[in-house]
Amino acid sequence: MVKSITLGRYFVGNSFLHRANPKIKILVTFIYVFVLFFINKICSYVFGFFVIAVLYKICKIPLKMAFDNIKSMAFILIFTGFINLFFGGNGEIIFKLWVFKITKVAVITTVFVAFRMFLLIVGMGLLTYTTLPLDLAKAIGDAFTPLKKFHFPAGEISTMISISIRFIPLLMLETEKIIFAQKSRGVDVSGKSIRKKVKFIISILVPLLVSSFKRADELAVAMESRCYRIGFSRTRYIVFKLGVKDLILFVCAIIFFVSLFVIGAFSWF
Amino acid sequence: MGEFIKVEGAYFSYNNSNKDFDINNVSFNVLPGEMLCIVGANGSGKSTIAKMLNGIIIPSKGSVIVDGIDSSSADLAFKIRQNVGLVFQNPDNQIVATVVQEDVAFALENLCVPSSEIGSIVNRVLNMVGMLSYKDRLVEGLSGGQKSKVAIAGVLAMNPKCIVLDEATAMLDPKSSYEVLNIVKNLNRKSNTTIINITHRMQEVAMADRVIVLNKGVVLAQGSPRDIFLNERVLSEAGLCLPQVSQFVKLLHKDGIVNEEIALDVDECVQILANLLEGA
Repeated sequence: MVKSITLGRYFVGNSFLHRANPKIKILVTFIYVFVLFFINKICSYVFGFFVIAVLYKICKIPLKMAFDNIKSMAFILIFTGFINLFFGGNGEIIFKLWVFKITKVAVITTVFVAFRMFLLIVGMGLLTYTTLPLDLAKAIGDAFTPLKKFHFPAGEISTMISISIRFIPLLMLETEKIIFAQKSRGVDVSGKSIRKKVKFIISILVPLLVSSFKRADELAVAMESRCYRIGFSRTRYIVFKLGVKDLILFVCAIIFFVSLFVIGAFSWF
Repeated sequence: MGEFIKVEGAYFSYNNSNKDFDINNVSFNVLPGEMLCIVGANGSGKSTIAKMLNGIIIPSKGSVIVDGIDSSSADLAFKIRQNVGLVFQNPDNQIVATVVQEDVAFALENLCVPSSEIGSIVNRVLNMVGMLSYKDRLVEGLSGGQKSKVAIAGVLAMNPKCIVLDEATAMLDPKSSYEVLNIVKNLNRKSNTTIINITHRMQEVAMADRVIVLNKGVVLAQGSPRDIFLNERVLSEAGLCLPQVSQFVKLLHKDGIVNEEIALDVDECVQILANLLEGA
């Protein structure tokens, strides 16, 4: 089950996006998300998807992986669509059943939101597929650095994210071991009733939580013993320096965003 | 020669109890460049002592002085941690980064070493533990022994005067265990780094200059490995067993076959047997 999750995974490669500065990639993604919520023409969305699909091709990432992300987010998408469709706005009613009514405005809003969500997930996938999780964590830490003036723990947040990423495979391994151990002790894993399923999940969660807390405690001691101190400044071994290529990437991204608006302005749908 | 670490009348209780202590009036010294072994059964207080030596645990009574710095002075605890590196049993729980070189750099980043200098230190210490070719590898793909070596490199990066191994070989296979101990032995011989090996594996005791036996938070005995191996009462009280080679020579001595009372390691046992065969 865990292996089927593609969202947030890194796809090994050596494209210009893989090599680009993570800070620039995060900034571009942030602007992209912002832009998405301001464009409201189908033509712009189609053009946006076309460009992103080309980028997937250049980075040699199968577009199927982007669609896999959509699948794993299906519940949220359907839920958002449902809310928009039935409670999305007033106006001309085209369908009514009890308290539920679908208006023409709601249908249009739902279509736009669906397009936005789709492009959001596919675009964000490009960021995570081309950036090592640890680099992403460091870049996020760097992005928060100006907030240090206001006593915001930017460095600590970056360390926290890095450590969480480091421990994900270990916890997955631990979960597998616990499942095997519980199976060998006769815990019923095939039970189809909700009661049995809950019982099985609890039998995994409890030992997993206990071992995770123990691990966290040991890690805290190990970090302290290696001179880690909360609230003190640290230097950085790997520093992300901005290069000309990063600036070119940023300019290209801005041209892409502006073209989304321009296409929207000159198209009627 | 003045002592590097001085533990004097140290008490500690995890429950903040004034009567029931986990560490009970422990006193010992560690000399600079010494190779000390602290042995004891599970729950004897070995790991607590390790944390005390690193300034992570402060004794509730008594004192721990490291290189002239009292561990109770919170401002200087940082300096103690820099001088006394701690390597734990499970390398998975002490490796912070996902890539080998980034983990080794962790302590250097904490010590605010300039970014431009970190690379050369990382390369040097990884070379010392024979892991330089793995510097770009993900930690996840390493074996237990390799992870332990990375953990040692992470500690070495701080350039400590002393390294405390808290059962660092307990989870390793014999080959990896041998390699890790060899690295530590070389550090002691070549760089004069003080080594404190905390273990319950008696075969590791033979390589120490001195041994401290702990039992239920109390120092039961101190002495050379030979003295400790010969002290049956102490071993039985501490719940420790002699290594098989030592037991073998002890039985031979008991039956009057050899004169030597004990062998510390395989080499010594072989020598005794060779002498026996020569005599025959």
